[in-house]
Amino acid sequence: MLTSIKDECAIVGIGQTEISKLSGRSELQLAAESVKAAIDDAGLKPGDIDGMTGFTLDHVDEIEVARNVGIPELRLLSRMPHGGGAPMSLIHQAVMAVASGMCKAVVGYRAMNGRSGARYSSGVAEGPETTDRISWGWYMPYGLLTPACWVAMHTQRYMYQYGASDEGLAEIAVTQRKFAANNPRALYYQRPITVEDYYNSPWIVEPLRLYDCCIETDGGAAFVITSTERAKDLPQAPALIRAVAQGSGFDQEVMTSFYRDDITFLPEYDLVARQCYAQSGLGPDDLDAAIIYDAFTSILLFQLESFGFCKRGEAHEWVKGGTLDIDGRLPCNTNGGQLSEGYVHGLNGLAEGVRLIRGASVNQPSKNLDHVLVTSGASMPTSAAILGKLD
Amino acid sequence: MASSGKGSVYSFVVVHRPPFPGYDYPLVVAIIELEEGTRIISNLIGIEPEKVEMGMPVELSIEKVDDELKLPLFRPVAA
Repeated sequence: MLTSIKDECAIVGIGQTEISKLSGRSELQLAAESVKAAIDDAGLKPGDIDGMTGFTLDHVDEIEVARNVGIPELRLLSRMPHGGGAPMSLIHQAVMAVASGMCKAVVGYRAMNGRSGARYSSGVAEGPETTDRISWGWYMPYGLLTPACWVAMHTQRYMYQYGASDEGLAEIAVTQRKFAANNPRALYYQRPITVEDYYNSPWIVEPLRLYDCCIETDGGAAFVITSTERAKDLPQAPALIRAVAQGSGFDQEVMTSFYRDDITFLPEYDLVARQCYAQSGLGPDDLDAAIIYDAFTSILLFQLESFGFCKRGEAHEWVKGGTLDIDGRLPCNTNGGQLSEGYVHGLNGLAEGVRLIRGASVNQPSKNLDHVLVTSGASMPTSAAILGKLD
Repeated sequence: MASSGKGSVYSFVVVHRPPFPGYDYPLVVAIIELEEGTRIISNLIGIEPEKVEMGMPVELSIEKVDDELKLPLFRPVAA
């Protein structure tokens, strides 16, 4: 029996649509385009794909993608819960399926008209009576209606408890827009911002300003995973999956884990980090670059601490002075991230992680990148993966 | 368990955007740590948003927010 998934599987194809405020087409079309692009990029045919994984929040069914792309048979249909927490758990599903021999090649996708269709900033409104919505009945009547509100609650306590200023958040916001300014796919292409712009941007939910928040966009993104053995015969340099993990922490809620003793860290990230390091035999010092999930600037701090790049309560200082810049200790979100490339629920970030391994980012750091960390969203069941080069 | 309705501010946010019908902005939403050791999320009323501080003592105030709804809100404890 397989005892480790380390390096058993690889990402061999990535596909993305353009990112926009108005795609002008259906989410099914965006899904089909990005899945087809990922299969083409992998040098495979639709008939080579036999598994599919996606988001419970996606409006597009696996079977419709399969019909539209021409994938004849599926042996794995799998949807992962909780939006931003899901993206690397798609990798988790695909790796388990391929490494166990249940599938030969698995596609994962996310497609959303997140700007021209339903927007997350439009608040929680009527919907199915799921358990998370019922528990949200304790929060929504008081106007705590958007993701910015929920994340701001953790951020405010963090800043108070650790005496953190907003300077680290400003640096993250400005550095990522600088990356996006070089990236023709990004909504912030050729639109850098200054620290002054950051401080002049309006409050969304104090302590978060406009430039602390991701953008809402339309777009699709997809990836193909197959065995490392097969990847060696395919055209792209494979991004090997050194580790991949999913995790839900103690007293876990979706975005509102406010009853834990200490809300200045997120134990689900600790759990995912422990598993990633145990599987890969790597530690934070081995990670050369990262795609850190960035629905908001402040959630980078929680993740950098859980993954051990610095101690608890120190990330707000650690990120200052160019740490996350192209020539810094940990080049981060080199596509501009979801703050400024676009918001495709982390799968556009995964595509950038693969490009970093391939050496193909528009903001490729000059140093060698052996290992790239890619994470998923904060304050919900989450996931992460470590990508590496073929030796 | 009965609560005294007294507690302190554990964390809070000031909501500005986007505005939703039925609320007055800027809107203070706080996690209140009750004396009994549990927490409740609610609005702080009777205080300017810029005057809210971590740890400040607050107390329950049942408020009628529309014709049909009463909510358990919190006010600063009078000095």
